Amino acid sequence: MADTPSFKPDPHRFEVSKRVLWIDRFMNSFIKIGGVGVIAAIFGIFLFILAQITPLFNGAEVRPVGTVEFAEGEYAIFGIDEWGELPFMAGRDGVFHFTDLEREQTTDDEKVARRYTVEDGAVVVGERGQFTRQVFEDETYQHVKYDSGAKQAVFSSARGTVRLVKVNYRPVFDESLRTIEVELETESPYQLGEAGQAIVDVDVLEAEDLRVIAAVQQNGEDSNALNLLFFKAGTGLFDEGGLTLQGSVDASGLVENPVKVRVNGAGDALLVLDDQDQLHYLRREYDESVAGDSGGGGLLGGLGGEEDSDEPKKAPYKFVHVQTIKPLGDRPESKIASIDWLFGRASLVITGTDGEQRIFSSYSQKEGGLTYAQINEFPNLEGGADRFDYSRRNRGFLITHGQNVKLQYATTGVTRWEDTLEYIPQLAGIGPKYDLLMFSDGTGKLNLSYLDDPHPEAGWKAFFGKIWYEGQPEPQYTWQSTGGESSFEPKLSMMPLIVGSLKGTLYALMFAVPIAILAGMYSSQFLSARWAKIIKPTMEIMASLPSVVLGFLAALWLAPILETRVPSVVLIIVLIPTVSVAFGFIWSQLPKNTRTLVPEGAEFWALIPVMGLVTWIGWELGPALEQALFVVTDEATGKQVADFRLWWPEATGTPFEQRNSLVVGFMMGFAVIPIIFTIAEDAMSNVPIYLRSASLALGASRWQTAWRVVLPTAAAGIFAAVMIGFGRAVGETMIVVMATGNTPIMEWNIFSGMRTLAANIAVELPEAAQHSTLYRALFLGAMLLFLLTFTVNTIAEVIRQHLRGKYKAVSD
Amino acid sequence: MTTLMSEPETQETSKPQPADQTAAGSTEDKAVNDSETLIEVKDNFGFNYGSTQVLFDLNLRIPNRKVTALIGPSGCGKSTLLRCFNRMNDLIDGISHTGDITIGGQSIFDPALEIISLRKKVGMVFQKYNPFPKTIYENVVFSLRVSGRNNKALLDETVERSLRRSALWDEVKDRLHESALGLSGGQMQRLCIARAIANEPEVILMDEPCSALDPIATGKIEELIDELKTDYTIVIVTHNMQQATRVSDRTAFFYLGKLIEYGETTKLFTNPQEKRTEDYVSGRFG
Repeated sequence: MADTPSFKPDPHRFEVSKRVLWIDRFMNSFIKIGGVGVIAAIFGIFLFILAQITPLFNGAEVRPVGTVEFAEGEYAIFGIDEWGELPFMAGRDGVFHFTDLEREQTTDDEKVARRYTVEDGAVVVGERGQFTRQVFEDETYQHVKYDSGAKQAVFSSARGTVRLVKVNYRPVFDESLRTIEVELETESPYQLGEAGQAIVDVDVLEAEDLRVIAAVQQNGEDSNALNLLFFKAGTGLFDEGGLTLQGSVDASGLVENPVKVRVNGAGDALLVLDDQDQLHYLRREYDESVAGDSGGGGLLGGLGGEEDSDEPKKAPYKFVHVQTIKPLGDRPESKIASIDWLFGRASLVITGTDGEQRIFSSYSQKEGGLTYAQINEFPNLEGGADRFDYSRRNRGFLITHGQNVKLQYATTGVTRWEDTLEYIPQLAGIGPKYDLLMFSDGTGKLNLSYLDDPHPEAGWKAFFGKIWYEGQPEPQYTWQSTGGESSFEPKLSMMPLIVGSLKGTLYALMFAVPIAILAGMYSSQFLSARWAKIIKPTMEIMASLPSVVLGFLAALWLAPILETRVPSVVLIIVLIPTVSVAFGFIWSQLPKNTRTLVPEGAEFWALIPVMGLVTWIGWELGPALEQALFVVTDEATGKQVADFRLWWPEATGTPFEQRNSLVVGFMMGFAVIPIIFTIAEDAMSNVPIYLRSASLALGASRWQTAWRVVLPTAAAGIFAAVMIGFGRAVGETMIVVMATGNTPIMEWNIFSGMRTLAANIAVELPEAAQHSTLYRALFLGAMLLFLLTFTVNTIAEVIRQHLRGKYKAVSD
Repeated sequence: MTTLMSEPETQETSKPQPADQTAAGSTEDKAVNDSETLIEVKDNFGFNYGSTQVLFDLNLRIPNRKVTALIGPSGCGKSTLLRCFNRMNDLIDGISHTGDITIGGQSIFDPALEIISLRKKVGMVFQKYNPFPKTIYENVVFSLRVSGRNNKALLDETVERSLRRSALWDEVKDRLHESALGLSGGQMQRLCIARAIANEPEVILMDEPCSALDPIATGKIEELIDELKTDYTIVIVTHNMQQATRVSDRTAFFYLGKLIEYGETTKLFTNPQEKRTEDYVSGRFG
């Protein structure tokens, strides 16, 4: 009290300390930077992904390099090695002109590339300059063609002979300097048919263990002859490897007047064009009537047993006519101009004189055997195709008409690049690595262009459209990124993955949403507060269970159990809700005095034993149900067996797999239930107590209150809960990776697996080389995932706001 | 003034024991006889939240088709008592009671009694207007719908009758199917009254129905209460002395969970028997 009079207020008490201001200012900008930083980071990720996927939708880029001058002459073929350093040009005279080109390794746009040195539009010639090799003398040939895949020139003569010249390039390393050596390898000309029958058309299949030479020859009669020579790899103990002549086959007579012949990649089919523009598919079969070396090489087959004789040997094959196709049947005005194989010799490019370009491919029929059908078509050229070459990396091909040049991609039907040259190319080719384009006017000038087309197989159609791939019976959505052989074409449709994502999510939500929302309603509206306090944190702990554990459980424990007990599961799924409702009804019919024995909010003690009993009954009754309903005749034994796993495929025509959507639905449901439960429970608990009171005071039961008042009022929150659950399920990876077979199929069958976008990224990641098409396709999958959740969340938010406006309670 | 008041207080406290006992008895024989009684709180009714007792030894009779006001300072237990009549307190965990309450002679704590049917008989209007986030129409017919009565004609008729009864019809008849949340506060509270009377209850409990309203809206509600008492027994809890005098026929004054005085409103306000009543009604504490 004594201090009171002497008390003087602190004169500085209204001042703000510098420290407070400084911290305030700092925190202000810190939070601002942080917030903007987060947004920028998300935006940056988005942009990065976008940058990764845009090249997928770009066309090819072609940049002219320069000209290589060969000695002037008439050239019929040209080719180049894989390294692009030693191109050659050759004519029918058997003289091969090589030119050594300087090529330097450069770094351009962070990509290591080899570039030519160019001076005044001419590619600089390397140390070895120009040189020639001659492979034969004193022989004349009417035709020569060069198979850039087999690197083999085929000379054919009016005498009926065929000479094969293999251009063998190989790199030689000398103190880190690499030079490309070339060797020409030729075999004595082979006689087809009888001497003097001029060769009209020839096709040579050159594989590691097989060579087939097929030729259409004039035989002086009305109809041309069709002759083949078969070579096979020596399988005898003392064979040195390499191909030995197996024998000839005369396939004349099967096709009336053939004009062109093509041998497929396996050597077991001929595609023969007749003069009526009909394409005939001849299948090779084993011919037992041919005596001699029938089996094709026993253990000692090559042991000098085969004596040379004047009589040409017969190969033990015959051909059967299987199919006649009219590739241009709908275009009577147009004639077939060319037929050529694409890479892999499974698909034919057939062009017409009106510029049609149609792709035909074979596929297996259901009843067995192959059949050929048109799988794709390109817009017409201005006229028939003049020159053709195929890519040795993919299903691309180069086609010219006059000065017009087009680089097409057969699978997607997309023109990757087109141009009009200043001259009419007499020769046109694609570099072995799909990195060069070569054109020549035929007089010795070779024009080189860089081809930059890293993702020819990609594009809107490849990712989102139905594509008829080689070997498939119809256009399909297919994801199959890698295959066993080099001629495999990657199939990168996103549709099976999108469907897989939605399928997994749908089944998970079908299981999770009713349980989670009803559980949330029960815990917030019916359960006594004491129990609710225990249940809710427990459910939240469930949410923190790592999904890899759930996936592990699903794969190794749940899937095998469910596999044999599907009827039990079905029974339980039916029994639990019906018995619950029935129990509720019976409960409500009990006298009030009996019901009051169980306090309000603790009725579950009465229900739980019943549920346990019902589950047990369902489980035990399942096999009985199986015996009663799911009986099927076992194909192997012919006996009647009760097995749902066999019954399902027979009844529905869809497969039954152990790792199926039901398992995923259950396990992913487990991951999603706690999330939906927690948020829905909060939403319903937060419905103002005065609304519940009002409803109860008007004589509504607890259920009526929950259903008519709480549920609509909490609708926005419950909806948000479901959407967050959806987002979780769509992005869920580990459970799906482990609990499904990861088969990218397009079906909604509950007993088959799926591959989701997320799982696809996880599974294919190790396969994806940086900047490869697959690598970018995985980014595309990531982008789709992002867009999917973004779209759903946006729609959900709009609906949520609408619901909130509609059912908002009186503002306090 | 304080000294002046302290004198009668000591005077009064000289006979608190007999007063407490006889208060109920004396009020009983004063007005509410058996035939008039609708709600009877008897057998020294007591009520506990867990281990805390909030109502002590209550005995009172509430007459049929009259307005009975429950007054008293905050925390005196008047709202708790009101919520006992329709057992709204059951929502709270750990409650217990002693004694009994009967409505129309039937005990509301009878284990065989369905609480839902009790609540249909005893309607309630809350302190804060609480219409459902539904249309005006659906708000009014809610009690019918939960009873399973969905006949369109019946519902239409009920809506008009209830809204007319609550003096809201003319204001909302053109927008019955718009959200109830678009109404003003006073209208919402009258809607809540309409909702409460839609199912024709016997008793309407009102828990400070005007505390969130402006004076004009309050006036309308008070008029309404006056009209409604011809058909319904109304028990109203209020903090507002003037309101109690304006609307009620009988008033009960509670203090610290005990019934201090109960009688004709005019008598209680003009000539209170108890010193604490006088102090409270004259605004000396509260």
